[in-house]
Amino acid sequence: MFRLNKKKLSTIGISLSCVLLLAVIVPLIRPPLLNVLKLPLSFLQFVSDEVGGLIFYHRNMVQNEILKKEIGILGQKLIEYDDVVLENARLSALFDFKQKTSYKVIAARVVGSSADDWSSVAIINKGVYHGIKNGYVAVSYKGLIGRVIEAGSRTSKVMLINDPNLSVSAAVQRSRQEGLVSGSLSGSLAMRYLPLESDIAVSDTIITSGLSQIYPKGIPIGKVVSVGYEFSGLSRYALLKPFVELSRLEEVLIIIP
Amino acid sequence: MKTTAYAALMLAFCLLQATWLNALKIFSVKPDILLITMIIAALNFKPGKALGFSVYAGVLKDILSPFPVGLHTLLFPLWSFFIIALSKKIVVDSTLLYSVLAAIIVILQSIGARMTLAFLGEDMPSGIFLRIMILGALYTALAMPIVWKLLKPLIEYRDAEDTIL
Repeated sequence: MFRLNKKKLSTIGISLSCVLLLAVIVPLIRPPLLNVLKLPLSFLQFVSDEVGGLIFYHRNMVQNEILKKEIGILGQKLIEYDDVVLENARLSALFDFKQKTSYKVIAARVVGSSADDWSSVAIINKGVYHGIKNGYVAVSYKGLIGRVIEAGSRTSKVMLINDPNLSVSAAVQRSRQEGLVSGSLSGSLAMRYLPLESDIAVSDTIITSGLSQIYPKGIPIGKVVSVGYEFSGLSRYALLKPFVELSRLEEVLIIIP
Repeated sequence: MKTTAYAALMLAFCLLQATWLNALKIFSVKPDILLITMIIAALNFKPGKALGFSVYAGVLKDILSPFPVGLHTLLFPLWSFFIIALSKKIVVDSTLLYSVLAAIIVILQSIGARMTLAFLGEDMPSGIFLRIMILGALYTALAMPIVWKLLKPLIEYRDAEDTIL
């Protein structure tokens, strides 16, 4: 089928070397190339959002009504919360506790995602130029989204929490039971390494534990939907539904430490 | 002319895969239309151009991926070479065969990707791997006739460049 003479062999050798070299340098040339693609990606995402808005007009209208009611309830809660914050400030000052500063954040828009199914990555329209660096944490007003893994000059890649290569040190809000949350490239997350006697139940809220010092403490991750035993029988696991709908991300907030 | 148009279409398909196709995800899996364009190029262009397109498609996909090496830049030319060799042995001329070939390539790509990721220390649970591989193969095979129908007029278009050659 393929007769190889000296000339053909050298051509194949050179081509193969070029491909190998390209495969090695692709990660290096990725950020500038991604910057070039930023504009068409933003445009397509904009069109996609607008078309989605038209198609799901009725659903959005119903959601809008529900959200308006929720705003009313949350407004009430915010007033109560303000009272608690003031009281906390008074008590902290009284006991000379170090005040916890609120996070400084940068808002960014999601312009695309990874083209393959082997990773869960969102591409955002802000980069080093806007103050974003590798390792910064991405959140939304609902909870944790992921972590910046590649900050280009004007775009960045955020690895989402449903990617199996991203693990978050987490805790059950009610019992402070700690575990490790990781993703499965789907709509749910798994909290693993829970001891057999761990105090965890369905509907428990899972938050970041702050142990790894990468993720600030107390960021909501998700709600427990089921609890089971690992195949080995040595520990338990819990399946979580993330608070943030990761398949429909539009905006993210990047926490500046 | 035809080559430039096809390259532009590949870029457009890459952008669509990173944006619009997210709305068509089933169990977090979307059809790989960039891989489809690579397969169509391997079956319809001359080997040199087909391999060039496969490297181009691989680089495009790697721009949007988080992996530490150009995984697709490495694997796409390999599949392209395999398809060119296969098309010399058997005639691939029906849409059904195109779809079967797409499914096989997705399975091979999944195995290749998992092996490369494992080699790089990024292991993936078997359940997730099987889900992505099987659903990805089926979904890409289903998408093949649609993409082929879109690209067929361009493939069948004979421009001056082809006439000379």
